[in-house]
Amino acid sequence: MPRVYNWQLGREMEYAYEGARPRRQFAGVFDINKCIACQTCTIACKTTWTSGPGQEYMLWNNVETKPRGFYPVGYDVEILSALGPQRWDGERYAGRTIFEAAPEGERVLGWRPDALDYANPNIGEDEIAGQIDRGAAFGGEHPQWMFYLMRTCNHCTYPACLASCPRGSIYKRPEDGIVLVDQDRCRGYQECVRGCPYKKVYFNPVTGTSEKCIGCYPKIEQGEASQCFAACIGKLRIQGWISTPEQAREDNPIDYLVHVRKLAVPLMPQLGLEPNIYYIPPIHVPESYLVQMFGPRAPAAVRAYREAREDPVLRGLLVLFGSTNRIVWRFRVQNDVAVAYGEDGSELVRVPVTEPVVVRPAMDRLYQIRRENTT
Amino acid sequence: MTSMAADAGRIIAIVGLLACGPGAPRREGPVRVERATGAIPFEEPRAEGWDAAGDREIDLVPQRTVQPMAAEGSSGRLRVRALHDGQWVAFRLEWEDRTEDAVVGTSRFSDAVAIQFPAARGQQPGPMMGHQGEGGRVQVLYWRAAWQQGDPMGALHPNRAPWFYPSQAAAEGEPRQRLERLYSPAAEVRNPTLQRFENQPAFRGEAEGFGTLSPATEPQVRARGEYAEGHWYVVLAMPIGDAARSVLAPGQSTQVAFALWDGSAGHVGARKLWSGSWLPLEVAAGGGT
Repeated sequence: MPRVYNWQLGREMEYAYEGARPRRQFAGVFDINKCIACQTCTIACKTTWTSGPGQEYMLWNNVETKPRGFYPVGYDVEILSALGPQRWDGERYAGRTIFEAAPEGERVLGWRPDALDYANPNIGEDEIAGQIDRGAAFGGEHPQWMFYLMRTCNHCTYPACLASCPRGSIYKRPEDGIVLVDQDRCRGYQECVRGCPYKKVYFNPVTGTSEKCIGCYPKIEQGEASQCFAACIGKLRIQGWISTPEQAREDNPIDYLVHVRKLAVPLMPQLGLEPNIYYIPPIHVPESYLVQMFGPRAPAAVRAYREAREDPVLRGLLVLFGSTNRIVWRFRVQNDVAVAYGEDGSELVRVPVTEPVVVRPAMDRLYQIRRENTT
Repeated sequence: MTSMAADAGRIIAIVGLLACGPGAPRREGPVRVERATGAIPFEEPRAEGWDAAGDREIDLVPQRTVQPMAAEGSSGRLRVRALHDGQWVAFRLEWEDRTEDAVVGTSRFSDAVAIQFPAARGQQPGPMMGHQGEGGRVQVLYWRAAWQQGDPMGALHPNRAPWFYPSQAAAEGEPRQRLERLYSPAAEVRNPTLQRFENQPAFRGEAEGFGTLSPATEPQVRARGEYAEGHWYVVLAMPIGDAARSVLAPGQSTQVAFALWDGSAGHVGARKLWSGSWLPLEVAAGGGT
């Protein structure tokens, strides 16, 4: 089996095909700390792409509550259990990926959900990690915790769906790294549904083919951000292109967040897919859980995020999240202003890092009315 | 031959006759396509007309050569009868299956069966989808139980709540069809398994190696399956075509292989049972009617 380099693991690994990185790689960073699970991203995607017969249950984008929410039920627990305890040696993964742990006769270690696993798309919503003891009170640190995890296809560098398909019906576009199911070639074997550990490929029982997030490629081709990015009212997403670590550029917002400041980390990197959606991890969650879900870099990412307010460039970049519906190719922070640039170098948006504060007096002298705070 | 050996031979012949007595299928020799004496009952897999056809039983083994594989230890048995009328060759396939799997959904797979021949005379394609043969392609007739469902969503979720689709808001005709296609990409790109010949529950394809099954140049196929008393009975038929070139022309000998999918066992794609190699196939002489 060919060997490829996965920088998220810090080592080479086995994969079904020779490594061939795209010319550009679709990527995004999601700030988990800002999400309120309003599901606007979910609905923006749903109404755009999956409103037809056979697509009723498909949520190419979903937001679930962690640690007790999933879509489909138990997708992360199932694959982590199947893989068993694994070990990181610092930032180098010493365990086995789902490609290396594939049983005889299989291309990847996978599992396939049943239809009922999709029956409750927001199961576990707002449930916390454990019981609150009687008489417990807030003492500066939450005794229990939960957070929202927003998920789309990761358009992985080494997609398990692609590796699983015996017909070669799934391909990764060389121009942007978006992973697509060829709807002409697909015969609905559901090997991709079994193989993708994030369960982001769905079987359409009406057409008999499997379907997945297309990264809103018609928008990407026009320089526009994908629907779930553009629709986020919490402004917690930023879309761009990610480089490999050795080619990282400081003025590339994704590179800066992932490689330079190491603020954003991938979801379950130990599985070996090199996913390209990155998360700023929640700052109030136990380290052991963070490491299991986001890898060994997560604790440092939390520390960096806590210190971001002291860093004018990082603060500037964080206010650029959700400030434009275009893909941000470059950014610059200067004189307390963050500026985003497009592919041709044109300015996309300019945002003050410190919002101007206007103090409105309680007494409106023009109308001689006293304003009240009603909320 | 000594007299003892001759006696032993007679005993074996008698035992063989008893084992293969009237109604018992042959377990050796070629698959024979007999000349039909009347109309071929294409739409009636359980019709008596099939009794006149050659009867051959074939053992099936799990596909364990390429990934993904069928589970080790599984097995199957297929009973094959075949007729031709000079225009069409029709196979009637029968097998035991405790569950009728005619609905597809997530992790729900359909029962299915397929027949494979060389695509052209004189070629020796490999028996596994034409893989590593001495050149040449294979042709495949593939029947899937789920393709007999007119309403796949209704079959999958018979008690589902009414659902509203955006296309229903559009005016009937082209505006509605356009919206329907928008949310059905496989239909929009005319996926061949959705564009089957005369909407038959079967697909006629050609292949030249693993994972290469694609629509055949000649799409004509007829199929009909019936499930009764724990058995599937399926008719799969194709036209003989140009008798001067067809591998299935009357009087021709060629090769055939079979594959079977048990939906309940998770069989789909390469996860299947198959005949393990080519078997000889003989088409009885006799021209068209």
